[in-house]
Amino acid sequence: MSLDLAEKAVDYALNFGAEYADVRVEKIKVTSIKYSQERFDVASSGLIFGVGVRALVNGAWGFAASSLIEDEEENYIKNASKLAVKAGKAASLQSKKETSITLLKPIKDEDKIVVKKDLGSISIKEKMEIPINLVEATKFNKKIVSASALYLDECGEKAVATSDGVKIINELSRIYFSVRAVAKEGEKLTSIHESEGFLSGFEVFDKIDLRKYAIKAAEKAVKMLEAKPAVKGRFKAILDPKIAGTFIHEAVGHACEADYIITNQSILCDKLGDQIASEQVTIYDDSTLSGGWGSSKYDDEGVPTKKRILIENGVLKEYILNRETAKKLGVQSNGGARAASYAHKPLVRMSNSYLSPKDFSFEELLETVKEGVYVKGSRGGQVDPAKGVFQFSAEEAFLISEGEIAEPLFDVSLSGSILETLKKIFAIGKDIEHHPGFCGKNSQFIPAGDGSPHIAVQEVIVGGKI
Amino acid sequence: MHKLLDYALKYAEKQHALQAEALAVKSEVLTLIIEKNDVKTIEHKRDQGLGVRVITKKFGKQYIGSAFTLNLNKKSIEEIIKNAIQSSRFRKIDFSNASFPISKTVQAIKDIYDAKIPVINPEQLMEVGKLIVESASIDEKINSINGHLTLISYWVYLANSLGLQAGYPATIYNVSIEAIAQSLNELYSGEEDYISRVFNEEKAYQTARAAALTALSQLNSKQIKGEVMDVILAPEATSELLMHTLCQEIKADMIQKNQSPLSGKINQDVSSNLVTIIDDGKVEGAVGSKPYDDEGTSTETKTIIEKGILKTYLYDAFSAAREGKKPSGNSLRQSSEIIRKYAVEPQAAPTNLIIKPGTENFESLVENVKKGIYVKNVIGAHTSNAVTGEFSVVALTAYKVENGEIKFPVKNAMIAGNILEFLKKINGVGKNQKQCQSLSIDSSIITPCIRVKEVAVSA
Repeated sequence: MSLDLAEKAVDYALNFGAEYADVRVEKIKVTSIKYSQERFDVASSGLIFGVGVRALVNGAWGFAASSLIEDEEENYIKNASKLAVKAGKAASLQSKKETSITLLKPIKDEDKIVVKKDLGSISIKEKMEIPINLVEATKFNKKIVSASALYLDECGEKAVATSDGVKIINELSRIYFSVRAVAKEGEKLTSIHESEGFLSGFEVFDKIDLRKYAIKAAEKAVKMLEAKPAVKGRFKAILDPKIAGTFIHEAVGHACEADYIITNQSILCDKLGDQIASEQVTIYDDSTLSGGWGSSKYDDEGVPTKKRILIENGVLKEYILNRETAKKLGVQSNGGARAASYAHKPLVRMSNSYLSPKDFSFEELLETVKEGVYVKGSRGGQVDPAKGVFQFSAEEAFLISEGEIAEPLFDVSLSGSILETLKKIFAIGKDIEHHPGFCGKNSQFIPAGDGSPHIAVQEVIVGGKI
Repeated sequence: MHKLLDYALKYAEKQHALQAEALAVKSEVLTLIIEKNDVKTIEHKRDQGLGVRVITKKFGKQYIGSAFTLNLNKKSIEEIIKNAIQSSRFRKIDFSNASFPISKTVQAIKDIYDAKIPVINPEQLMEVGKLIVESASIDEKINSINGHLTLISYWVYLANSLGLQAGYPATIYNVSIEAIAQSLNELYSGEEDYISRVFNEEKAYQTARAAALTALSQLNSKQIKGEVMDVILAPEATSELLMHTLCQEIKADMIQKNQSPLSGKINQDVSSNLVTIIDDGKVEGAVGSKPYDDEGTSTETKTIIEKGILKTYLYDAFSAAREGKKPSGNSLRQSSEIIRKYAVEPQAAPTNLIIKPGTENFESLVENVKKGIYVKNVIGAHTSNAVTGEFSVVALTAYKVENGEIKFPVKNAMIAGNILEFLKKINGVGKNQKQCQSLSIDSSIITPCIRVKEVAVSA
């Protein structure tokens, strides 16, 4: 039904004068629950139903979005198409009229997801037990003074139709949860969070042990109470899959987004084919990753997605493209256009970006590094893709001494130059982990996964709190 | 729309809700997007949605539930009311006699709606867009102008089962421009914003020109070595810092959960005596102003910090009832986009947080600094820890000050500290205020420049 509406909106847009149009119709149920201090700060569900129409008119974009009301959809759809074309016409009056896009052969497909327990029919009451159970499971140690947990889900369908003949239904069923444990001893407070995400129905909770996440967060928080202040300086380092994944996503992935390339805001401009990282380094952004948090068969412009090889054996191979940036660079889109919702226009985005594993075991990495720091988890940080510098703050850190993990360190941050750091990755583990996240760009937040094995870096700058 | 709200309340009653509240927002947003000196896209969004809350009762205890829908037909409204009641089952209210506010007549408020905004069409907007680009193109070194101009018209409708029935229209005008200057291979960025309830074309051009001047003023910026020095924060930097720290720490629920460094500090010294901070939901023309808050309590003016002394926290109906107090008109469904306001549950938050102007003009603030920096914009304040008050930000646009004079642009300076220590070290407050956007699209921080002594600045 969503697809019929999307197709109608495309027809309206063409009739109103668009030279190209793409339309997304979303009918989604969402749930968000936040539990802390034995209280629900948020426990709410919602029904989202809306249309986004993008119209290319004389080389300029018009975009319109509207919420929809069942049984009156037709009217709203028609109006949205009219507004999009009108906006495009107006934009083309003053614009340089330079916008054009790559076109596709017609596609008709459904990207189905098979679930046993439909998120839409599970009552919110049952979902509210998830964060309660997470918080309760942190309380095995007296040093844990507080804990909080988050549960988010969405399910439903998203239809994409375009004037070059794309007709797609994407089914969605997505679950995310996280837990944060806060430990205290004397005046010292530490906090660690663990998160997980699945493209699945509610049956996933029959298979996983929720307590595992809570216990892990709590144990780490308690361990970090023993931490000593970090020594500042330049060190050899092992990065765990989480902070290495954050580095891959924030520092490398964003720099490969073609909109930044075209506007000259990325250090990777004009570097295709160059050796930009050590030969060990192969980095993908893979929308087709099975079960991947950011996976989808088609992007929000209806383009079939693929596994993009950003860096292969250290050589920069490919940017992440949408239809518009692909046209500018004279290639075909590789399916990198994603929008946060029907009410947002698609931007060039990552899906699941990860560093490909090699053959080192963790023990071998420790042995190779011998003296240095072991940095784990990420509390976020900053990257300037134009200047090519990054700074992340770690959740946990340990000294590495004589090839073994030694005392814990607190308030460790890592910084450096993206390109120099890529060249200094000298050993890569075989133990890849993928983590779910939410990536923000121009105020649009979308699910994106990152992944990496443990990696060893010749030199990073370790600082205090950032 | 009130018919639909009424239907929702009646249906909630039928489903045995003790009380119900319904808030709908209808909005229209027109945005002009400028990318690389080109007015490239126009966006036009129309949206409506309904958020409901219910109070239910079981074995003498009260429970609260919440849900929303964009699909405003009766079937969908019935579904979300059932969902809201479901969601209340586990969510016990931890005090007795919880209630949504009882209906009262509230005073209308001036200048929150500009009738020009809903009728501006895309063609007119394009003319403005073209002139924005021209206004910023003041030097050949300016190689890129990006940003947006947004016009928002919205209508809030609110009703509850205790007889409240109210509504108001409002508008927001927002211009945000980034200019990038290039010299050799280095890029320097300048950002300027303007927000108001009222459309003003001239302000768009001034903002664009100011962004270009800021970008140019950053040419050849230098790193400085880290040390303790005085810091002058522009209104933009001050508001960015306060929205992620103080604005969170004065919420009554944060106090009640012992999650704020301001817990238990009423009538105590929490900042320099030069500082008076008020929350005023009735300032003419400010984007946080409205006749009543998102639960229907009349907004009011209250002093939060008076000459350094903490006077009150901010209350919504629930956090107030927990302490046996009256709500302070600070219930806010906090959303960065107007189109999702009804989807967010309300909580206590500032309306317009105002730092009262002091006596000093900008020159005199600078004059008394022997060694310091003037910081215009910061990034990274969202990583602040509101529970402890600790923050660490990067100065995006900053200038070195030596012996009372602004000397040269500074790059990559970092400021870290604790917000309460920071407030105590304020030794100068400017007299010219600027209205800046706060976390929610319908809230603001209105502040002058402030000067803080002895701040740890690192390179």
